[in-house]
Amino acid sequence: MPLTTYTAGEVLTASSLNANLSYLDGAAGLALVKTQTIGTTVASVTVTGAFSATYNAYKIIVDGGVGSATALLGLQLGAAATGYYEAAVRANYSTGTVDSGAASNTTSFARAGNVNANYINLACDLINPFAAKYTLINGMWISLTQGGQHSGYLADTTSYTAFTLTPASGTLTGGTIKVYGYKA
Amino acid sequence: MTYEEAIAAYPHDQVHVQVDGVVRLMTPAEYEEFIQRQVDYIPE
Repeated sequence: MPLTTYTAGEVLTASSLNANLSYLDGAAGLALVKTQTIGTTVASVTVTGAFSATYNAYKIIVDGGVGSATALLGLQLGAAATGYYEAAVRANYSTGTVDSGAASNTTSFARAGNVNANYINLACDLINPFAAKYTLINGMWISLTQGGQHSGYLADTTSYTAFTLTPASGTLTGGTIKVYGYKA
Repeated sequence: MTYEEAIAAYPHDQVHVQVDGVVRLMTPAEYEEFIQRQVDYIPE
């Protein structure tokens, strides 16, 4: 049943309202799963209870915050410290020159994001982190000098519920990690 | 960054780890790993 709209003066029944709520609950879109405020001068932030059987795909963003250094921001799933494959292709804002960074069978998605004194950049999708399948990642590369795209996969079929963000240099302060699940 | 520079830039009592809403100081082993990460970091 599609979403019901009402006109002025019309009687709103419980059944109609409930039908609308059910419709919205089942509608496609993003459902906020978890938010986590980042503390002060933290070298890593672990978010537990982020993934479950409820959703197969997730979006993770960091809203606000800064780094103490200009560096890559790594993402690790659970305690997995091997099997990460990734590549980032990015263009320099001034020259347009394109280069890349990549790693094979490494210890994290080391290029998942970027941090600097102005912002924390992490905006990525994770597909199947909880399912017993390879986990896929794709997201944006937004450093102070380059913009581009990052993608990769974790080559194991372990089910993960948590992830950890770690800057390759320095610490993080502030901002909010938000995890959304993609509804069917 | 040298080891000494990393120690000076990030004293032990000013670096933390966070799990959900819990923020704590690093253990000695965690701190050593953190300092070594600063030393080893190659900007990209």
